Amino acid sequence: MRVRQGFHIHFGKLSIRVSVSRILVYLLVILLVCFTSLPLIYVVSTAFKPLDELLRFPPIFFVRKPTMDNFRDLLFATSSSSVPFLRYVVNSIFVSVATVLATIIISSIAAYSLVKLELPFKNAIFNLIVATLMFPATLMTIPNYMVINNLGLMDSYLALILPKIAGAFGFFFVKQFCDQLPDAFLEAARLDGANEWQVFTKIVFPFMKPACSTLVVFTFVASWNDAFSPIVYITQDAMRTLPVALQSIGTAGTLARAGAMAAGTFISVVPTVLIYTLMQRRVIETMAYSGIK
Amino acid sequence: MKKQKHGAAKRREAITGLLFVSPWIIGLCAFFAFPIFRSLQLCFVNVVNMTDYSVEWAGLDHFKEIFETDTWYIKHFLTSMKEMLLQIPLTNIFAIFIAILINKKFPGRTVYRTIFFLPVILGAGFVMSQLLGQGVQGEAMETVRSVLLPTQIRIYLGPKVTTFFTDFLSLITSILWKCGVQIIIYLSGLQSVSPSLYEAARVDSATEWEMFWLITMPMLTPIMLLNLVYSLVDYFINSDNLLFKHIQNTAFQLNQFENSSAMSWLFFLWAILLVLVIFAVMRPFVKKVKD
Repeated sequence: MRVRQGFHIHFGKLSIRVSVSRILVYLLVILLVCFTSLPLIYVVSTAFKPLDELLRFPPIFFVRKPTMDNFRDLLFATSSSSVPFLRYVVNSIFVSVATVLATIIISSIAAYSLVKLELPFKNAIFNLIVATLMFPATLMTIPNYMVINNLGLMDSYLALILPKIAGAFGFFFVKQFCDQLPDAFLEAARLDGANEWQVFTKIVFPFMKPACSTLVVFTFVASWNDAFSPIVYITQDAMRTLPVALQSIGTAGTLARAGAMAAGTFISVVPTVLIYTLMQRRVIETMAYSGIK
Repeated sequence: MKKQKHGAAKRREAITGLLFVSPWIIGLCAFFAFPIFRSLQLCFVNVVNMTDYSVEWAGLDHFKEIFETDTWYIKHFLTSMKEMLLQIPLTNIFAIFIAILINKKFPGRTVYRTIFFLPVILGAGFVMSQLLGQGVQGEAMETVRSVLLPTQIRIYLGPKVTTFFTDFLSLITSILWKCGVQIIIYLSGLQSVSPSLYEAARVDSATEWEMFWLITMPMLTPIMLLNLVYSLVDYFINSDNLLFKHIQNTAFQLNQFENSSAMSWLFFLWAILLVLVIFAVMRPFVKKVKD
């Protein structure tokens, strides 16, 4: 017989049995959590550091005298070159939101009609999707550049939005949920005289909401953090997005811009963390459920 | 049971369906299917004129060039393979470990789950490289090190132990930042293991250690296969990869689109080969779960 090690804690009448191994596990988890969130905490703390703390060696982890100087620096000092910094933020927000909306609408409609409607070439289309899922994006950068160039979309927001909309990844995500929707629901709606569009907006789309909110998170984050396609497709300074702008701040003035850089990184992290914390429960459930990323 | 539909209704359904699916199909063809075809074609041709895209057949010249004139490709390839061999087992071991830890019932475990998954959200692209690249690795580690290991002890132990310690800490952080998805997949695997197995084992007075190796691990093998493949693919499509940077430089700075395509196809075929190897190696270990 194994004897469980442990001891009791008494709070008046309440007595809690605490086992040693449980405390160890708890401590270990907290330590690992600390390590994981370390970079994030560091970004937040650095964004509010005054210049002397930023440049101090050995560096300090937590800010001692928090200031907003870095943000002021980012907003005014870096915008000397004719484009205000806020413009980059607006560009990023516009591109990401447009990408998310278009992706959600287009993939959910496509998933619904491919799964639930009787279509010609259904299997051929499915095979095409599976095939594209396997190819890495790097393989497609050059031909994508050619396509964008030939469509005359260079230096337009569409060049940043269009190539990301019809991904196989987003489709599979929504498809998994669509498979589960009972046909009887759809039949009932049709008997009541709903047309296909009404069936989609009133029944199918609400049913797919968990998958869609996960898709929102992933599309938004991918579009928001994308530092590659703006470099390739955009040459005008005024149309650049946040990651590109940050890169140029980072390389332009190293020491004097350290504060602006820290504040910029903070600004670029905030929306992604925010959108994730808002939807995290659904994200993790869908991830575990569908088994693909 | 499927209801039989009449001709007109069936045709109307097909038309609506095609209408619904067409924006997506057009997008997929323009930005995924066609580019894949084009990049495959680029491996074997020389582009004579970029504006009207006229090409001439080049055979295997571009592949020859990679091995004969390109000094960096093989070098970067070997470096990333070494890194991959280190990283994939480590991320998976960590992921199993963490998944088992947060599968235990204690307060606040949903919060931990959220935090462990956070790097996946932040992890894409610029922010990740910004965080792990410069500031955090150096400065944050310095702070953590001095908290965990006071200066006096460090001096006593000497520089070698100290550097080892720092490297170890930063390795842990960067590994932790790569295993978010794997943790979630393992967690769902752990939760699908039937509790009655553990109960039966406890009745037979098995220890936790024995239960881990004889129940948890065998039941996790299908999930492990999935995760290994996932980690591999994730590593291969990660744009921070040195080899990918080289491939992109070849395309967009040297303007050698054909060579760059050939390089990425070689890398891609190698990735597929590795996935097949993983399947072949894992197959004898994967237990079929009986219903």
